[in-house]
Amino acid sequence: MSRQKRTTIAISLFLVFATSQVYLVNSFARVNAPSVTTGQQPTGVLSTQGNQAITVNGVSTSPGATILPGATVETPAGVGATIDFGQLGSVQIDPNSRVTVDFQNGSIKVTVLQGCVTLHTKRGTRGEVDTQGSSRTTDAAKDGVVHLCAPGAVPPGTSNGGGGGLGAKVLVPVFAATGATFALLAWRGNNPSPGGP
Amino acid sequence: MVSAQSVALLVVLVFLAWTAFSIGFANLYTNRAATTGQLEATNSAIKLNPKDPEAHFMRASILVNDDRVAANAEAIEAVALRPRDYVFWLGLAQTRELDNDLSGAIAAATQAVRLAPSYSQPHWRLGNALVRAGRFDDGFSELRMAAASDPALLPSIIDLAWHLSNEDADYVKNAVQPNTVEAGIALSNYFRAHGKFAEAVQVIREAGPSANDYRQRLIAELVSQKHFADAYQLWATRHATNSDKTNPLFDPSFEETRDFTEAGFGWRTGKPQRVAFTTDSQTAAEGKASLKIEFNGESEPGLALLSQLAMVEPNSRYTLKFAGRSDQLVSGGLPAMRIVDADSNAVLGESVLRQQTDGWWEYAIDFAVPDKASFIEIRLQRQICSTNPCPIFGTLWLDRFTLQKR
Repeated sequence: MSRQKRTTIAISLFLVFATSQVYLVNSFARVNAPSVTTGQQPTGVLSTQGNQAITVNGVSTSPGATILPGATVETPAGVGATIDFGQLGSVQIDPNSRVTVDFQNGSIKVTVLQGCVTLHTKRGTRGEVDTQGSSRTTDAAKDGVVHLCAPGAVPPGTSNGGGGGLGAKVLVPVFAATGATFALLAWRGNNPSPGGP
Repeated sequence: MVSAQSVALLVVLVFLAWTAFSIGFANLYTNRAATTGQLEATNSAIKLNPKDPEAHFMRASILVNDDRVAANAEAIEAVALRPRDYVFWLGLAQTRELDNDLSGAIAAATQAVRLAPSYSQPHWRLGNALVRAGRFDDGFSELRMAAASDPALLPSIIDLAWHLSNEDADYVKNAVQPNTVEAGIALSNYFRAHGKFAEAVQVIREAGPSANDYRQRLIAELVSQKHFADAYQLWATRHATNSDKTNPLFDPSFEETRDFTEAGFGWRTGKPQRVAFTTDSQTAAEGKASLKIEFNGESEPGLALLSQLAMVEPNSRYTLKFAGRSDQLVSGGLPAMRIVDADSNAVLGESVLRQQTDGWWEYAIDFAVPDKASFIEIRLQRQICSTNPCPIFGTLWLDRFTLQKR
């Protein structure tokens, strides 16, 4: 290969390299331009105990709502909530708690202002739960769980008072009720919702 | 001897009894699972009645956090057993999404919408799933339908659009499209709470009379926070301004005002003790009425007895003229007409009213509006007394106010 040919190849490669850098820089610059997020960004799905509404960013919010990064979530007494972040994991928020959730691809951070949370992270996601004075993290190399309460918070009791089987006291009324139940169920099978809300 | 007919009847009865027993008990177990969250209860329910969709649905609900694949399978079973119940389709939408199948979730929620188009929940779930899939226009279209059925959902829909758009008010308006009074109030209220007063005013300005209470509250808040221009814009939509364009005062001769407590840019009276305000149709300097103020004892001198906010041009000179008539005003702190910069409360001009006049007396106050002031307040206020208590007695009439640029 002649010296002139080698020089031409080197210059060509340099130009290709330089052009691709300009293109890449231009592409990255465009990513932040739109004021409304149009691409896929991580979101969470809210579900709550008993399908009750809770407070998100200061407004009453029903289950099924979309949770965005930076949200402040407040649960009333007796209503727990779960936010599912898909591939990242999920956070269970105890009743009577107030937390902020921040998340992006590869990380979830929960700040507990009141009450208790349990953060579940999936492999590949680093989890962090902060509260005043203490912080706990999960290892991104594996699935992880962190439970943390704000100072002074009392975790709700786990006992629900439920026994294993059905008591004998209910047997007699059950027999009496089965006929009525049978009749009632026989009519179901179609969409039970009425035409109006 | 037992006949074949009797045996057949017995078999049928036993079959019916067993069916009723198994259905009833399965239902009982399902209800128990709903209150306790026990998986065993749903297992028992399904064992007793495998064709009970509610038992499968309940099992899916319990499993959803721990075993999403199994939860999804149970939700599919529930839908298969009762395919025309939107509730089970919504359950399937939830388990599919948690099982990382967002497009399947959207399909299930779409089916729920088809089955219960007038319900808010299917639209709400579908709208949110579409937003999470990045299909914002379709998502907010569904969310608007959800809010049409249940206006209580509006604040969270607005909040979603607000955060999704990085607090872009135009995007939020477009996403919510507030075509009802409820929607207008909810959106205006949200903007107000987030410090976007001009947007709050813009949204509620064209709403019908049923938004008047909210409109009044918003005007009062805007005035108290000294957002006078926004407040004026909102107030002017419901009040005809003075036909004399050179006089920016509203109802300058007390011909129209009946409510002296309304927030805004009309005449307002304070609530001093032992002072009575009435519109007097017997004594008028102009038109058919004047304002009559009767003083009958102790009242707080610092209180604004009567006031009106008015829009003026900055860095200009004005003259306020008005007619006053006094009858035996007696006090150590006589009333004075004062003009203050509404923003800074700086006094721009003042005239103390006479104790006694022979008929109507013409007052004139010249004043200069500072550089950055656009609103002034005209106040009738007593002068500070040297003694306390400081009673006042007598009658004062006011009429024919004009505010003119010189």
